[in-house]
Amino acid sequence: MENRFGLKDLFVILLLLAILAVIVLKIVQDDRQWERLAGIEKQVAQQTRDVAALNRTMWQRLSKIEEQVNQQTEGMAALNQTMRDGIKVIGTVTTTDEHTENLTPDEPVESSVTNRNPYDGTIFRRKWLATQKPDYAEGGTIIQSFGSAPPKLNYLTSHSVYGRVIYTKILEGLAEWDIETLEMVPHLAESWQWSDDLLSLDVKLRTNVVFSDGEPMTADDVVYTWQLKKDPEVTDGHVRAHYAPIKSVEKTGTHSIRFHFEKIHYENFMRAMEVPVLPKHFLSQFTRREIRESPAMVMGTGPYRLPDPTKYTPGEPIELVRNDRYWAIPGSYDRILYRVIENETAELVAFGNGEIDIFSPTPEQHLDMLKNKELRARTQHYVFESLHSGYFYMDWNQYRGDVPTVFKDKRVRRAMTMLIDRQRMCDEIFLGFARVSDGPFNPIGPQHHPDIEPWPYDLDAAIKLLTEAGFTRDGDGRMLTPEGEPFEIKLSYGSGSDLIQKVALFLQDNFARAGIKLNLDPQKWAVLLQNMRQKNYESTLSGWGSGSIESDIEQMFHSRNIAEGDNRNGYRNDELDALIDKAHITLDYEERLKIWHRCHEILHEDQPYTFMNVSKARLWMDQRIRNVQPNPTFGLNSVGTWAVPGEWYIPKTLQRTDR
Amino acid sequence: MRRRSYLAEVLVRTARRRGAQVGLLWIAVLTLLGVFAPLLANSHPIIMQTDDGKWSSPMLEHFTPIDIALLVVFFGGIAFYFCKFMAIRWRLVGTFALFMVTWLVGQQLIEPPAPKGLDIYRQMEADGELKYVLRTVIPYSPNDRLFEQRNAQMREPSATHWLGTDANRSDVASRMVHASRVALSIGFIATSIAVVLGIVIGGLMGYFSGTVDILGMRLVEILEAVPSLFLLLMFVAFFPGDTPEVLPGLEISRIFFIMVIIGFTSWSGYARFTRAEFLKLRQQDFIQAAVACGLPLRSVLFRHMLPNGLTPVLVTASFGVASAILAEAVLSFLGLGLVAAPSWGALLNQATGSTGAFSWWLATFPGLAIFLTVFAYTLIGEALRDALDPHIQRAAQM
Repeated sequence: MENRFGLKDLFVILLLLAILAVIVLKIVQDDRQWERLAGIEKQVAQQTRDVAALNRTMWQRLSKIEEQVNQQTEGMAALNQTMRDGIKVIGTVTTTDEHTENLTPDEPVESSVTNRNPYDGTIFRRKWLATQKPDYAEGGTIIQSFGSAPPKLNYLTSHSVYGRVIYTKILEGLAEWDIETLEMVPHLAESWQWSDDLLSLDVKLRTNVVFSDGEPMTADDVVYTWQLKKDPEVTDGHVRAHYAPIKSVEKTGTHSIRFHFEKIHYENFMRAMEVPVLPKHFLSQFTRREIRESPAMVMGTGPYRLPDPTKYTPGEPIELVRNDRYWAIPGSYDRILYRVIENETAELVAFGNGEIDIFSPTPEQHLDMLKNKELRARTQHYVFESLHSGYFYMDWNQYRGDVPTVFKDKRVRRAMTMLIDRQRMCDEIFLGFARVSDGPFNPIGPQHHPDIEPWPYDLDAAIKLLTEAGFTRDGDGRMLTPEGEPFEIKLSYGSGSDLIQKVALFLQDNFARAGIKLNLDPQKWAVLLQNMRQKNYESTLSGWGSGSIESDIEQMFHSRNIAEGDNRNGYRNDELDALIDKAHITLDYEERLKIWHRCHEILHEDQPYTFMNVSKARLWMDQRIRNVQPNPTFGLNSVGTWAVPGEWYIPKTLQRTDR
Repeated sequence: MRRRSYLAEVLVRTARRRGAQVGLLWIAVLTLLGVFAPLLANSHPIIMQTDDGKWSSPMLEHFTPIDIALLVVFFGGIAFYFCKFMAIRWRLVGTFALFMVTWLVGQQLIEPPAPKGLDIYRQMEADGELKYVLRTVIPYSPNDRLFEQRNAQMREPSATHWLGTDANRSDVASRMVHASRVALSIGFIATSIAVVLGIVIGGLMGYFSGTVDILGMRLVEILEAVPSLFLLLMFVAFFPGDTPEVLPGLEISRIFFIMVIIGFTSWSGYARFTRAEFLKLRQQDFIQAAVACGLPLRSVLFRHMLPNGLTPVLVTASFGVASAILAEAVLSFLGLGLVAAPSWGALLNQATGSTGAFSWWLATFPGLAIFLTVFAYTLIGEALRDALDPHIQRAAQM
């Protein structure tokens, strides 16, 4: 067939060329549009920042004016007083002057005024000091790693440790802890007032707080948060039980609320104020079911935000960006990136390559890294004890079914403690990154009785105690129970951890010295927890974390919690019960500390657990990060699972833009 | 001279091959190590005399039923081998019965020794309380964690610890000697379970064919479609501990549990072979004759067909032993194996810690042991296959 290039073909080709040209032009145009859009976005972000900054200055000025007005009113009152009774006032004025001069003789008054911290009495006090440093700069990206991916980013329904790290950057409570004074200071609340019977609390909210999408925070949001918190459709039973002492939350004005409490308890205040405020306008567009099941549902008033508060895929890096509408001093970094690295060795390699900026190595890794000069030159590292690290313990079940076991006798329990060379365990298994503990209170905290020392490792004394309790030894040196059976203990513990495995083997060797056979029974964590809950164990190795500054020991040691709660080993001491109950209704801190000290004495005497150790944390970070300071209570001036404003920053010249 | 059966002929032909000889030699070494482990590596001295002049043998006092059963069966087995008047089958049964009896009786009679520190003898010697002491070649038990020494973990090989120490402070040489028991028994028992299952299921499928065959083959295909290592991992991870509670109230030793699981996940290959052989055999005249004579099914299946269809299964079985040993090593390497009992795989696992540091002695020696054992079984399997291959036989004869 003949194939000729006709007019028709020409048109087709022209048409094709035209389409191609249009596409190319469109691409170019899109490019331009995108550039413009990016520019506009940048401007908008800048403007938001400016507006937020303006807002902040305005509020500062306003509060200053208010203060001045107050002072003036006071001055007026004083003036009135003067008019009534002149001589006395003159006397007062002179004494005041002398007083100030004596206190600050060499500091000019002007400078003390300019250096006055506008954030005194809030948790931003220390952060503000950081911003006054010459090299302080906002900006930069920081990359951290998580050992496992949090299953959800949903404050109401997911309570994983790594999840909490995220929540505390995004969400804020009505009051927060000051890491120096260890007191709760107003945060989203401006002030509060207890009723005379101490059963209700009036809270005034700040009026200048906005959520990260710009909506202002009001009393409605707080009330709505508590509705969700108490809703069985959304919140788990144990969480609701924890907040049960808070009877109701009532709105008393657009920016004021009132809490009603069930009964007097020293933790009432903390429970009411620690719960972050969630945005009603945002959450109320979802059903309760969606709120419960959504993989991500975090929006708040905090210094950082998720780019999309409803989007999260477990396993993918979690990106937090700075909340430009933040009502107080904004966060230091532009972005915080959390990568999930499950393998410890991979994490070490990532830190060595500078792929992550902050790294918490295992003891072995830490010791190994210390030898690496090149790594040490470009990083900083800290070893510290923190009130936040919980304690590791060995539990002795006092009942099997309803039958008391040998561990019912406190002499036996104390003997068990004295059979274990815990100092050696800390030195050789934890490589020195642990301290022997002697009770449920952290040795560096105020609740710890200063005079209590851990029971020593003393084989002879332990055997003597066992003999007193009716134990005997046969010709081979085997320890026999009062019933004449060979004394064997089954130790249940979570499988899969090399460290716990090593501890278990070490314990086996320790107990063998006294002719006691320790049988090892590693179990899957889920199975172990189930068995612990059903009291189906002889002895376990486990740990308690510490959530707050003042730990309440009711959960594990009050006999009220034997039947259903966490007092799994059936420990009962009436004096301790009464003391715990008394501590709960003692609102005076110093008084309460005395009660806790007495509790500690009893627990030390009774040894319901063998308290093993508290560990020391290790933290390595890139040299770029500045203003890392020690803190006596938390080790460092940043607490991962607490809403503490990040005092660390990266100086402008060290900020990287390549990632 | 009595004419050898086909099976015996094949075995003899196999044993003549160089590869099989090397393989068998290594297995024999391992067997000796396994049987005499407590006499080779033990913290309890063989004989000692204390200050008060009393002689004692802590090693004998601390023999476990399994130690005694292995020794008895080793010498009993040799004795049976020379009992030429008995049929081979009865000699095997006798050896097995001897093992079971000594083991079970031992468990009833022998009281578990009192738990003591394994370092007490060294302590006594250091304190000058011992007049005379005779120790084993490696004076450490596999679970002797050198309690009296500080920081004894991860020591490089030296004069005191020939192959170094591991992360739990135990002597690697001692653990390796004792681990040879685990490796050998895993291979034999797991494969035996799989072979028995495979022959029974495959035999039934091959003999009956038809519906039974179709259903059986689908079962085999399903099992083969499931990656067996992952199935194994899942089962084993589900039941941690040295004596997992497999069924409510039924606790079995972990090592047996692993053997059973490996056995139950690897019988499909044997079933296929047996089925193919049986399909072929059932058409043959002598089977037809046996059926026509009205012999019972049991007799037809196991007396007439099985001996003629067993040889290809043997080849697969020797490879199966190798893969079972490998499977246990993999499980232990992944930390899902035995808890405190020694295992080559678990030692290998400790060669790299969380620091990424490489402890060469923990990689080399257990790695070499695993490699050599698997290699030995592969050599034997290879030789068996060649011995069965008529082409190669003819070529060899010419």
